[in-house]
Amino acid sequence: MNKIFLGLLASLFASSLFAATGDPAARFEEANRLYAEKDYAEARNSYEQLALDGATNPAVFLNLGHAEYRLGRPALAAINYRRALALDPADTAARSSLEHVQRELGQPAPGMGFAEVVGKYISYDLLALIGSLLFWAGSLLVVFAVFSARKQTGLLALGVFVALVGATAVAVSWAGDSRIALEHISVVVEETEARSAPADNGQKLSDLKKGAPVRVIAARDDWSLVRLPIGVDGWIKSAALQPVLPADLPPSP
Amino acid sequence: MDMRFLRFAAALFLLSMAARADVVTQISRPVAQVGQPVALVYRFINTPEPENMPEPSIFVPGDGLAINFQGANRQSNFSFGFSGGRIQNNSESVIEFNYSVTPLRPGKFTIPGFEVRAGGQQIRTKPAVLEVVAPAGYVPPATVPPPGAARQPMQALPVPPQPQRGGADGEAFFGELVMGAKTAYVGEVVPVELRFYFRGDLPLSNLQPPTFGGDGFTAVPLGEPEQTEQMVSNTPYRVFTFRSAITAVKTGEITIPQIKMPGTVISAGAPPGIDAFFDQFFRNMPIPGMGRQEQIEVTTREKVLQVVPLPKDGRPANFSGAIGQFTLEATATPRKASVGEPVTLQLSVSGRGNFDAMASPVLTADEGWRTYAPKEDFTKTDAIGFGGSKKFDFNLVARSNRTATPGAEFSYFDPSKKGYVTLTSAPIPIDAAGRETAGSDQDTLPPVSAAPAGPQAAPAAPSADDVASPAASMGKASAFGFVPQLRSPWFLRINLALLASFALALPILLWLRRRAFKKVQTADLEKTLRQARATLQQTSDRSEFYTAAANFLQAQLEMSHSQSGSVPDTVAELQRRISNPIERRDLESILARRDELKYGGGAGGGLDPEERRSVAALLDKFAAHHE
Repeated sequence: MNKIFLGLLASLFASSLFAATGDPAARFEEANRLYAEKDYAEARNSYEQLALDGATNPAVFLNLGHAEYRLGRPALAAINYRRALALDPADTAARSSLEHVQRELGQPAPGMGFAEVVGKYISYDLLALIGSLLFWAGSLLVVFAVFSARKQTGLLALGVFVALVGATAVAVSWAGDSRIALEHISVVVEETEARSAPADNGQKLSDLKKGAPVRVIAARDDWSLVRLPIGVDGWIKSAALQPVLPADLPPSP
Repeated sequence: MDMRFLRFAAALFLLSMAARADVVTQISRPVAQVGQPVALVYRFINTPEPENMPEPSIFVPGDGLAINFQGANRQSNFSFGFSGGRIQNNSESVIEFNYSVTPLRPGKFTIPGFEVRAGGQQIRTKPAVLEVVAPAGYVPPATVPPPGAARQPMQALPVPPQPQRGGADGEAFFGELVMGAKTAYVGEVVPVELRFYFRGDLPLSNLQPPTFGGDGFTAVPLGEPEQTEQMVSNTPYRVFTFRSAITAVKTGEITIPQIKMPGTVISAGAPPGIDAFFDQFFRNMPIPGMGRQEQIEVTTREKVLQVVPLPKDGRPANFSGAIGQFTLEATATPRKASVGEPVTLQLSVSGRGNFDAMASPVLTADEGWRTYAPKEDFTKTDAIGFGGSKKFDFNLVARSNRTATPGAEFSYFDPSKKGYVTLTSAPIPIDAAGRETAGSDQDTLPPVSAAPAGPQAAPAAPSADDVASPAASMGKASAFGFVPQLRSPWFLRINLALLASFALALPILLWLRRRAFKKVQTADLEKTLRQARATLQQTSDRSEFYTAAANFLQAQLEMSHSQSGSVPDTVAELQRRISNPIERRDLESILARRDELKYGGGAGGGLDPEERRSVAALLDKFAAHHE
């Protein structure tokens, strides 16, 4: 009897251990527990590990941003809020948190433009899918009308219209999807100077504060050529930059 | 002679007495504002002198009017005339009793009739009706006076039956400051009126508005004055009343300084620049707008306001400076909200008091809600903004599923009760969906309403206090992650595959189209052949017969090309394709016969059966050879 009971306990423990290490939801709850206990460093590591393991839930990046913020790294927090918004443009918690952190950093907060408003009501992925389907359906109608033995003017017009609507939807999706816009955007995570050449003795162009987003144009050795907020291009140390949407999420400095 | 005259006069008097005795009640206007005196006259016509007229006042139930006796006038008029050879007398004896009626509060009042004795008989006066309306900025008196209070806070402006100075000796002009209280709390709004009296016969010109202000208090800027007429000690005056309100900013004794209203009076006489010789001329023949100009300055007397601090005892934690008498109402829209959709909780504070210094109510039981700084909107109900309604629109976003909005509390100091009052608003049932959240106290946004919010608070601005709450559950994963669908490999592959399919299908489509086209053309030609054959068999008209035969020939030649219209020159085609000269000649003769019948006007008429047979045989043979 005792052996059976012990065996049951052991299996329960094993299953709970598996749940804690394997199930993303359980790991997320564990990270939340650490956060609630104010163990922000461990909570941050847990959230980050979830992200590195491929979690694409906006909540993971929202909480990761919160953990970075509590650890006194608002620039990294802003990056993660941007990531959460890239995954869900309608995430009001991420947007308000980003606005708060940007204010704290003395940086302008990203506004609610047309793209953000559209993104609140329809996923850009869905819009691209619908647009693509419409485009090909319209194209098919056009082909059918053109290659028909008899004249099909109405069908031709309908096909052209549907194809144009589809192409417009795809174009809007392309222009509005922040993930595309953020592909080459990095955020300055430590204050640095932009120079005219990729060298320490290059002419100083401007100072860049934490949290400033810049567009990376090229990279050479340890330097990145970026489009500065003042409108000119300058070189800054790559170590001072953190891409908003990297291939994977590197550990923070 | 004298005795006869006296008898005649006595007879006339008795006649007049008996003729028409009456008592008339007259009120100078049926509608008046609070504080605006009106004249009440009891006119006894052809009656003996009343013996017990009420002096000095008339009692009116309800205590809303102050009626004061102003004096009596006696007149006797005699006139004689002859009409129809008889003497007509028009004598009249009039005794007037004048009263001034000062309304103390709005309402409709009836001054009752009363009985008086006159010459041994009872005469009853008629009642008079006066409707009293509230002027702009009017503050009704407190209904419950505080026990032992030196004054009634928030009371109506004291409306003196007569001005406190001037007028008694027919003074040309004077001013007075009427204040709603002699004692006030710091921050309390005290309504005031600046009244400037000008005797009715004074030719006024170029009156300048007064400047109102002083140390230790702030004042509502003066607006346009109200202009009325008022009898002061039987002298008519034009009264300019400016309404304002003062708010004491420090404790102690505050002096409201003299307020000056400059102006010009034009009196009869020679205008400036004209020789004094003409002075008498202009005095005797005054020209409107011309005369001696005299600068005047009407001033009020200084007044003192005792300012006391607000009591510390019983002060609620969320008291933020509102002083007055208010009510609180709450509404919420929409009643059903989806995730992320804001709910607007509108809290409306109405009443009288210092709306300028009023902060927003404080939200209670707001767990599970994200709150934003409220948008404020004030609507005043009087000219000075003492009464009104201030609306606070809170935008709320549910963090987790909620079934009710937060409640609200609003604390203010009520000077009439000399104490603090806290109004509460219960949560309003709604259905709001929200994201599940972790309930960490640290990350819960503090209620924004607890902080003083200026009148220009940004609407729906996120709180500057902290970041949002962390998410408690992972929620739904993004289907495509950080790679947009437009960039996803499968999306690109499918679209490329579709494009390639179209490119590859193009030759096939072209072939299919051509085939379908040929099919259609062939069907058309076959139809033409069928129709021509039917005509050849049925018609008896030669012209029709040869036309059908030519059509048959044409269609048969085009069938080899599977396209109608592909043989523009039938004769040339026959020469190219028919090698037998006899057959070719016969076929060409069909065409020639058709043209001859069609264009040449040759003989039509009936068709010979032999001719029909031979042509049909020729065409059958041709068709058999070229199918």
